[in-house]
Amino acid sequence: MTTLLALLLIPLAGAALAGLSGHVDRTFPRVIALVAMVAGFVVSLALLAQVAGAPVTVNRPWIPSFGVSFSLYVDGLSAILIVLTGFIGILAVLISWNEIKERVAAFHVWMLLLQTGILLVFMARDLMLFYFGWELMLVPMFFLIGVWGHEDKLYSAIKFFLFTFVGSVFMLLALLYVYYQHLLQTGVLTFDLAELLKTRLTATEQWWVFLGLFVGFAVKVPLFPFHTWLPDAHTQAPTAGSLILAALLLKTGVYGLMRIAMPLTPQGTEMFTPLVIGLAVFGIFYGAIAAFPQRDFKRLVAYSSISHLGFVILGLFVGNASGYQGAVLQMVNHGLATGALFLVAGMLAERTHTRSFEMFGGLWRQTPVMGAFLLFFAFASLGIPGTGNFIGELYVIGGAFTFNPWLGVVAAFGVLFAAIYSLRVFLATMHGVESTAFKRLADTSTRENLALGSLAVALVLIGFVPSVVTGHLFLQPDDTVPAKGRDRATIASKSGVAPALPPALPGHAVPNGAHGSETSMNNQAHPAPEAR
Amino acid sequence: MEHYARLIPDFILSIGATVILLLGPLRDSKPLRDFLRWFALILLGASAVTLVVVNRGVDSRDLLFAFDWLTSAPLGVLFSLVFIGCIAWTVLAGSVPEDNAGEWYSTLLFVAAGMVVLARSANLMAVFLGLELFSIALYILIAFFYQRRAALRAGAMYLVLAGFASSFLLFGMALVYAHYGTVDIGEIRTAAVGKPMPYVAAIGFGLFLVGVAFKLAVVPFHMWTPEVYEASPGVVTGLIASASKGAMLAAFIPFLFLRATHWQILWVFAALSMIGGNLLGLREFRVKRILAYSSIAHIGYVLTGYLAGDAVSVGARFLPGITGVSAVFFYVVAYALAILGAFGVLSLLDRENDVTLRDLRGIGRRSPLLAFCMLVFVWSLASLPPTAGFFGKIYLFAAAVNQGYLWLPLLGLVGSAIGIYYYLRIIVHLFMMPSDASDIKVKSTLLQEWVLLATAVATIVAGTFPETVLSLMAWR
Repeated sequence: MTTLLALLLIPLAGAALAGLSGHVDRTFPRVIALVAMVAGFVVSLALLAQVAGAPVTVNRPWIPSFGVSFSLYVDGLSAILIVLTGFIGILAVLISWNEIKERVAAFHVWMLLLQTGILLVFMARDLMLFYFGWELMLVPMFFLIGVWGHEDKLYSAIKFFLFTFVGSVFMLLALLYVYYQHLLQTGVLTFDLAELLKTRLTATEQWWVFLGLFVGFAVKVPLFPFHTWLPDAHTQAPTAGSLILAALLLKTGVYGLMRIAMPLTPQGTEMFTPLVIGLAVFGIFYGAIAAFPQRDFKRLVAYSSISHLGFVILGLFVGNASGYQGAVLQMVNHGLATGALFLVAGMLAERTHTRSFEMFGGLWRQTPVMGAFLLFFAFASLGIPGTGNFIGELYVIGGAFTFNPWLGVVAAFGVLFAAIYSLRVFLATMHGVESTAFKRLADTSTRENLALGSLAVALVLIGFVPSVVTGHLFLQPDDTVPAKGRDRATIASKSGVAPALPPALPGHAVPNGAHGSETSMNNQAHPAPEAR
Repeated sequence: MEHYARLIPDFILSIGATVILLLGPLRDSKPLRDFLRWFALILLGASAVTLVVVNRGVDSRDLLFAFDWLTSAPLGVLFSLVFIGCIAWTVLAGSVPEDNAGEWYSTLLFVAAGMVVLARSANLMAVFLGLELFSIALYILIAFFYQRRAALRAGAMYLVLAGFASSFLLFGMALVYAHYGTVDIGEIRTAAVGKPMPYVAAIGFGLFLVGVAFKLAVVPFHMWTPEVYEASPGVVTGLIASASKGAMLAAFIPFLFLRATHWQILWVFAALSMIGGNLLGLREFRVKRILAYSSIAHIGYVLTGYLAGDAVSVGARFLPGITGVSAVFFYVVAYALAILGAFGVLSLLDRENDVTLRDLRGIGRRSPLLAFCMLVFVWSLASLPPTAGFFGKIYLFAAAVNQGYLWLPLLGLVGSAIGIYYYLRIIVHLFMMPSDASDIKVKSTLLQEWVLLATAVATIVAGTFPETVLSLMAWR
């Protein structure tokens, strides 16, 4: 409990200090932000160790007349994403060290506030609190793009804001509807997800509620028809903004689908599954094909994000444990690999003041270390064995294959497409005729090597020992995965981790009928013969 | 005698205002100006304290005097305290006028006196008296810097139109009196509720509504708003938007029984204001006028809550603890914080009038603190969490939904979504546009900065702990 509060308070306090210290010296805010991020990361690691036993929770009344409570709940899935958030936070500060020269204090204040918002989203069990966190992410990102962005920053910032905001209104309406139905049925005022899961909704209601939530979350993911803000926002954001956007903000959308939309409306999810899978698969190819001809480095990577996130959503909606694990793995891997590509793009832009492939070429001779990193991350992005992306995609495709063999076959071709654009990134910058525009570009500094190196190590680590991520899933009988109970129980026992039982969290024990009977929770609580 | 004691707060305000008016011309010196400012604050504080003391625990039906003019109803007292707070805020945050300081503070105190009467009125006469008392003071404040033609024009415009509206109000009251034979609001309510309303009374109340709608600047009686908002001194504009409308609403709450007979009119007022105000704001590029249009829309939201009335919803309802009235109270507080703050920031610019969005450019860079405060205020006006405006709107709409109004909240939602656009524009210009040719300067004293920062913090606190504000409603 103290860990959770500490995690939220560290960036907040950091933001306050960084804001105040801006008057004194321009380096102070950077140092303070770095210290806060590192401290947050350390605490998040402690949290990861803590959740192995039981989910960490906080539950305090906040606005009782509205049924809002300050209710946090962190299990393995949240903890993984929180650790990722802490890690990316450090890199974001490191990478902005030289890039941001104007309004340094304000930049770091917004970044730390953004960190708070993201952490709140990954922790919140109370849906109103979740919504607060959701909106809290919106403002800082709007400012990061709008103030410190590149040439088209205003357009992109406003587009980002309006897309996400309109989505969040639909989400809020859907949440309020569930809250209201729950109130009608039980007479209890609450926004606690564990309680709301008991709400009985008819199929039609679930259809609408899922639609509302889906629009809110799919904009953030972004799934195919809602994606148009992403290339602009990514391209125009400062490097740290692109990094956080890719590595963390997109994940909040997926997390919302996993944690809120799918468990709240199992039938709605089922009804929408064909459509969502269709959009996801289309997105995989659309993103890849749109990425290939881009002239702008960051824009290419942005489109590749759409493709990668298509895999994540596919894995999530095929509804089996393999797909689910793959989705979570891909969330982390995409954060690391795509984040790294944005970092390289930022480093190049910092040196050459352009992001255009036409200006690059043959840079390997001048910047061999950066070239090596770029080569590695391009390979990681296309899913070479030995990196986490390979394992993640394998899991997702396996899950898709179980769902429908043809779907698996089609999805597997998506990987092929990834190879084309990933290789182009490397070839167009490092190989080819040496660009005459740039002479003697500085190779990566120690600070940059540290950032890229740590990302590479993390990717390789996941590639060889995927259980650093997956080992934290299925620890507790969580009520989030629409998976078949038997399937999941098998995996839990195979992975060698003894399924731990959480202390009886009020309301958490039994989710609603159609859903609960199939979750592994019941299997673990009352061991079914076939599960052991 | 005990009854006279309950008039002490009003005596403090009106006698104090007169004293300040007489002290003002004594000498034109800074010490005197500062003294007058703190003296005015002390008077406001004393009046607020006595207001609480003398009305505490008094049966609200025990009316004052043979005339029965003022009630001790907790809601009226609570509203009065809010308005005294608004005036005190204005005294603190407004720049000290170079000359005529005495008149400035004295007029502000008269505004407070009028509002305090209006908010506690139990009687049609008291409604009119209170309304005129603070309206006349407002005419003076609008045209306070009479050297500016625009200010004079706006003052005269407000005078003529408000006088016109008052005549409607008065005629309506006369018709109501003609039918019911009493001016006591309680007696009228008893006579009116549950019976079909005869034409004389219905027309009377209709005219009364026109007067109220003008004061609230409801579409289609909103035409004066942009002009007056633009030309008034910034802090006075804030007062017109917050306390003046709030006082009218407070006086309007005893007339909740009108919802039975005149709900169609109120419904149309609310719908037109929510949509119209937000649409009108889209094309505007002068900041004060944008906020003027937004204030029109905000009154539409408030009327939506007003329509929900004071009935406690029974059974499992959305937000059962919230009645329309408590939602309106919360919103008046939340809106007052945001709009006072926003106009407070604008009043610090060295050019008060015709400030365009373009002029805001670069302020985020030059005075980050004030720009941040403005961000919070605009955020609250846009009703986004974690500011007070978010729960304000949730409460209003929830109360309306509980009473079976579904279309109004939906229209309100559409209106808010439209409104986001111009709020966003203010923020974009404040922080993100390159400051090219803007020559506008920000002049602020340390006190003003602290007051604005405190207001911004209060906006966020009221948005994260809305129950603290609502718990005031339980005061007896």
